[in-house]
Amino acid sequence: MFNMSGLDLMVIFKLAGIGLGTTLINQLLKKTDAGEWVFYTTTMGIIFGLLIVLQYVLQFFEAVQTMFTF
Amino acid sequence: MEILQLIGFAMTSVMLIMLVGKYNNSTKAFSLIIRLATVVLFMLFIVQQLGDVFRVIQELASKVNMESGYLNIILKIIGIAYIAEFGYQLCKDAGEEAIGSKIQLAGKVMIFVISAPVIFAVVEMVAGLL
Repeated sequence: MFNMSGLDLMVIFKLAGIGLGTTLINQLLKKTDAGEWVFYTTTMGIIFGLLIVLQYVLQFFEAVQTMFTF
Repeated sequence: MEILQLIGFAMTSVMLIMLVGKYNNSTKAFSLIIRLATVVLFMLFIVQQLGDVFRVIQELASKVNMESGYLNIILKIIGIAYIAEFGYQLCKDAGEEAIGSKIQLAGKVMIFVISAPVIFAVVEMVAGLL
């Protein structure tokens, strides 16, 4: 069910998990008075998520190129 | 029944984006990442199907004995239009409608540049008839 005909649902869940995990860590840090680290953890989470998406974006560009240069 | 799977995939992604985006205002960038991932996965699936459609069109064109260069240009124009629309909608969803409209403008200019040889050929043919 999670891998239907080329659509990979697990990646979306992984990215949402990264987002929720970053939010949790941010709230923990806010509670324990280390507010300046919030920015860094958020940025790290965003970069990590972008790296995962980047692999799929490259795959997409390759597919479009092979389709339009018969 | 692949369309049901596609709709289920899209609805799950929409719910996840709402969940991640409503929690905290500083993690709105994550909703953009999830949106980008969903759109790119959808486009990968669509591009595979479009490849089959293009192959059918090519076979039909080869049966009609049309010059295959013209069909290439037409298909490239269709591709540029789809991809420019895709980029524009992504930018508009992220709130950057100015960047999106520039993508659309660039797409229109590139379509014109690609179809310039066809326009030249038509003008030459008309001038040769006169």
